[in-house]
Amino acid sequence: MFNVEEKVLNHFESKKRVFPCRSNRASSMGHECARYLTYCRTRWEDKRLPEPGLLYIFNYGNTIEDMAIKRLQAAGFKISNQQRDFEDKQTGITGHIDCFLANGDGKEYPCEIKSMSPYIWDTIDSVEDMYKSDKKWVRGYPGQLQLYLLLSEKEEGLFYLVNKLTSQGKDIWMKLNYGYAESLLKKAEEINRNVIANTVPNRIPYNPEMCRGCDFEHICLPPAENNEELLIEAEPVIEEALNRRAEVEVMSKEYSKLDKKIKDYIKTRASDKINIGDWFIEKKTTVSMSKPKEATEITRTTIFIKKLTPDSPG
Amino acid sequence: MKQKDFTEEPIKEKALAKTDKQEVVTPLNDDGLIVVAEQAEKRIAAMKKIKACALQMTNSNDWIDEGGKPYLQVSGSEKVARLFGISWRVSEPTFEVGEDGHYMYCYKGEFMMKGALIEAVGTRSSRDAFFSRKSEWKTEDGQKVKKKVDIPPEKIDKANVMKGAYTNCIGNGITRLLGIRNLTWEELTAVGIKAATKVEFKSKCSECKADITSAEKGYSEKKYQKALCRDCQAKQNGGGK
Repeated sequence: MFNVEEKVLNHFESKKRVFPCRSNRASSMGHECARYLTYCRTRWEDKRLPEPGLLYIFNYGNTIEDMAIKRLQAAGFKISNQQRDFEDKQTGITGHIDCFLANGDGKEYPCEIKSMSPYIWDTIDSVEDMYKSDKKWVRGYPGQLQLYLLLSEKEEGLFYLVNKLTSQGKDIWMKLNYGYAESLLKKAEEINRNVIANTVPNRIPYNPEMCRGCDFEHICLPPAENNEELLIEAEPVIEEALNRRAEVEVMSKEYSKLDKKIKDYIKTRASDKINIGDWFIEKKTTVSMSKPKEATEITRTTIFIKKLTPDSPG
Repeated sequence: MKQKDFTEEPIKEKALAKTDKQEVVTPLNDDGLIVVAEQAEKRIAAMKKIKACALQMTNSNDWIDEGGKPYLQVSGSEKVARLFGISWRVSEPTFEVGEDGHYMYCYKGEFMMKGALIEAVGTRSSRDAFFSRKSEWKTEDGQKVKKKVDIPPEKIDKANVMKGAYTNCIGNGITRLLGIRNLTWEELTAVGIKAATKVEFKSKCSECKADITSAEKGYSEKKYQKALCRDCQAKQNGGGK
């Protein structure tokens, strides 16, 4: 008997490397921190080595990409220029696109295949959803395809997103946005200027989502400014209400469950007036028309209430 | 409030030693004592509350078991920092290389909360077993056995040691400022936190320098008054392989 997974893990451990970076990689240009991108060029050897867990994910992503290409070909699309290399000598941007996809109309579209967790996959139905994503790597995807569109002189391209759990795919189309693509080129030029001058761009304002766990955090040394703080209040009336709320919570849950069970049953009965034991139940059905409303901004406040340790004060 | 300089300590100790021999005279009157006692009580209650709120912010993945004690990882420290509005600044690290080629990074940071300021350091050495030791399968007497082998310092990734020192500094500063160090597993279990990862510090046999577990060390020190591996314990009994 031998340990299979241990050998696989050792294989990934042996692959832990960081590679020299001599150009501005198209896949990274959507990253929002120019300082990070400059470090990628000048301090690549100080980049934290990837954890084996991340290498598992990259490996899985490559496997899914191969599978997706075969699937697209089987569906009748013509796939060409797989991993075609690009280079823009002026800005030093390099990259390789996953493939070009054609549907028999004489046009070829740059196509990037991205595999993602079912949770993220569900949240993305447009390029705008990518820009708004709370995952920084997802926000970087449009920048990558924008550069491929610009460098391959195409007006339109697509992402083929694969759900890592169900393997289901979805296509997200994107047109070339000259303004955004131009901003990426300017960013590349800013990085080049810093590389030549051996300087780094200013830090972005501290943002835990961006800075925490950044591969260059130990070099960048971002000063953290956490201005929000815990308000410790002594409010006996509210505290009593919180305690009582916790006491009746179980009963409230039971009430909701029973209420639903009863009403679901009553809805199935033909009569509107029903007697069961000591109870009289009346069913009323109303039909109303709702007017379509214009989209308006709604502010929602969500409140989470958690109990502290059992022996904590209060 | 800045942390006191350690150079002040010997003077303070000297002064205390002198007062020990004399009659203890308190400069406070009774009312003053009551105020001090009340403040102390409030302080204890506040510390208890801070600890409870801090624990509520973390989950099992934020904690590791280091030699039987809970250790809050930087992921958890940063969650807690946001809750209490802790800010920090970290300076450029120092780098020292030893004669054996092993090196050490040291970061120093300033941590601030509500006007209070402390300094904390974070160090990591390439000599730490986490970086300098790995398991390898070796053949001994025709049998495959797993052995810990040393990794030479030049093969250890400097960026990882550096990053380790940086995260240590952040974790130390936050937990010190809030006074949430030295917690017990009982306190964490009470809020439903269990260690996701266990890190056991291995000791060395004082005779043959082989790795021994803390259980082997404890047993050996009780019985032989020194840390011995099982083979060396057998030799002490007149036996051996």
